[in-house]
Amino acid sequence: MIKLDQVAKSYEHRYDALAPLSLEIPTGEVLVLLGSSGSGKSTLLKLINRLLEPDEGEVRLQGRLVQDYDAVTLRRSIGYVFQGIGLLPHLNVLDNVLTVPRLRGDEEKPARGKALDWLARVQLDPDRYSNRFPDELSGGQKQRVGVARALATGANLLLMDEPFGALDAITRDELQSMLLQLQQELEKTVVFVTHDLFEAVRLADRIVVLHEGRIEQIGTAPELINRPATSFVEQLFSKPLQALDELRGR
Amino acid sequence: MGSARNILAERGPELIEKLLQHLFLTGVSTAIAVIIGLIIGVLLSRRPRIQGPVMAIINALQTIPSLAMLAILLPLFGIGTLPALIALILYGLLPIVRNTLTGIDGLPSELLEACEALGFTNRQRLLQVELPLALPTIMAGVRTAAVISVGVATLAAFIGAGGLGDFIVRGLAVNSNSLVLLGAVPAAMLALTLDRLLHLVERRLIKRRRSASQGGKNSSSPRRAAALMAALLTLVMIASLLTWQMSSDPRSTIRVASKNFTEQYILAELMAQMLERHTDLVVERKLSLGSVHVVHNALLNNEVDLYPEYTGTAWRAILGQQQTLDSATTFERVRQSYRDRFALNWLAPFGYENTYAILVTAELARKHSLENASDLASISPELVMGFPAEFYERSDGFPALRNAYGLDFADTAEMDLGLLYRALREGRIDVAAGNSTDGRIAAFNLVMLKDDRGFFPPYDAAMVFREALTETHPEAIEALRELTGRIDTDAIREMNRRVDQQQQSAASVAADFLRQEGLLEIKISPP
Repeated sequence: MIKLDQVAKSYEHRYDALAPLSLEIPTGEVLVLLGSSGSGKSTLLKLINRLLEPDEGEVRLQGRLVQDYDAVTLRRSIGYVFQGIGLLPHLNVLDNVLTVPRLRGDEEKPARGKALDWLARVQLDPDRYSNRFPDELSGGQKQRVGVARALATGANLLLMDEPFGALDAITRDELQSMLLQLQQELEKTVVFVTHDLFEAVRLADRIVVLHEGRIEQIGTAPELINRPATSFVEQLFSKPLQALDELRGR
Repeated sequence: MGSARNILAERGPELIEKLLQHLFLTGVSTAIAVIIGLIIGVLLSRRPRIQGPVMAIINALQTIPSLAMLAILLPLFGIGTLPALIALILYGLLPIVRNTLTGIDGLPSELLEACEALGFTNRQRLLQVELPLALPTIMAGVRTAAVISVGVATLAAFIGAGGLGDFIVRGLAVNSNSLVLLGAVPAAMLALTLDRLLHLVERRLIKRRRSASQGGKNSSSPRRAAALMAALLTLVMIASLLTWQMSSDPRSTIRVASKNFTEQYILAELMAQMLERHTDLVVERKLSLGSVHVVHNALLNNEVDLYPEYTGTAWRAILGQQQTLDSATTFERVRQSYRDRFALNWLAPFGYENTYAILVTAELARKHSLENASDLASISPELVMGFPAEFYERSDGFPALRNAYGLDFADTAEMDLGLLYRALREGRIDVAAGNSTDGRIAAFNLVMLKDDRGFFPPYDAAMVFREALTETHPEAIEALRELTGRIDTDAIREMNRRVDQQQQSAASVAADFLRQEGLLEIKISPP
């Protein structure tokens, strides 16, 4: 379980600050942080694995302050998937998936076997793909490798920072399906950052709507649509629905 | 070019020795520059604030002309291999530091952030991500450094560090193009070869990543890269070993030095061969040292043991005396001062004088009926005078000469002594300050004007040695004593002529002289 208690973060020259906010994420939940750029959603994510330290408040993991963990050890025990250049360009697919186990000094052979399994689980044929380099992969394939690498850490917590943001609609759909399927089997805790409303609705157990560093509302998709707590949330959902209605010719 | 073959046959073993010395200087300095450069480059990439000042210093180092750099290092580290290596390392730093920094700084920040998020420690990130990705850029810097090093190492000859530059410096001094080429061509080939080899290593290293991806099945590429690297290292090691071995004979060594012009090589060879013939000492030749001051300091620092010098040069340039005295008095005073002030001693003169000669072409002499140097005063505004660079700086040199004779030349040109006579003959200069014993005075039909105002002191040639030698190796002094009073002006002119005009080596000319004089057979009485 992750618990954020009155956490605030501000920057001198940047806009994506975070007002004091509190949040609890139970084990096994897919929580989506939804917001536009500058809403503070990535900031919030980075507070969990100590890429950023909060100015105020506390972040607890399994009841322990994250500051009590060694930062490097903490990061190696959390799966992280990035939007942009996440893969190391000079390593092939298998070596990329094995990055964290090797950093930890895990035994090579079992780690390798597991890594090959994970590649298969993200629907990349290990025989075909393990020796390829990132620049020989499509965007979707790269993100599959990114997911495999996060899972190969053996972590129960995955942090995903707009992982599918740069993909085309069809590929994004495929990867979302894959993620849902994996999640059914694995039941990881996932904190997923996106600015895409439909992605949020599709993946989330609960959605946190962030706006200018504040939480507008926390809830399941139907709750947000049917009982929006603020006008911002109402607007957020009503506009696309209206557009759909107009298309249907009503 | 039949003479090219002759030269190769005659100089083959020496060529290999110089090539190895060159390889040693280049290899060791580049290797050290890589280590230091990588460390500085990495530190700078971590501390953006000091990048500017540090890069400015390293850039400034690069702009110091090579000879000036050697001159700066001379008082600190003396002559020989150490200052040469230091200079080469300093020159190698810039390309390596700059390329390391560029290579690392050029990596996208998202990538480095990703490394942090994955749980890389700083060290792991540097070794596993930043350096491997910056490798192509760094290797380009290493190649540049190696090529620069081969080039600059040719100048190491000026401070007695050996290498292919010895041929070039000597070739320039004795006016022998083939000798210059004997140094320059192998140096150029060495530069190209090193660049090529390092390029191959670089390609193997980068390929290694690709092939490591082939499931580690295809390991021939990394193996070949390793083999290439090993071959390079072995080459440098052999060069170092041989160079070291050459200088580590168990017998006692005596170090004979000379300045860098023909007559000095011949005298040094005469001395060296007498020592080799009549003593058990191993003779180390440190020829082609840059100037009287370089050799003098080398003697004081116990880096060489003896060399031939001229009394007048010591009198004016080292002791700073202005008067002009007669030959015997000058010798006695110089000797006394050297013993008192420097613990250096002089053997009696060889038997001839090599004064500065104010030279003009026979044609000019006839046209203006020139006989004395003072005859130049009235026509000097129409003339150009040339002289070796050292002549300008010395207290017995150009500025004083100009005042003494009231000369006012249209222009002056500093040039290498070896080129001076040719420039005069070809009319590119009108007056030259050369050596009175040079064989080219007669060969080029030049006229020596009389020093009618007695400006120049006597310049008797004689051997200067460290006083300590009389204690440690009295037999050496006894052997060398046989050379005193042996050489007259005609003999030295003839020997100079054979080297300068007939392209014979100083060593063989000296050997012929010793044979003719019966100096090889004589018995030296034990001291």
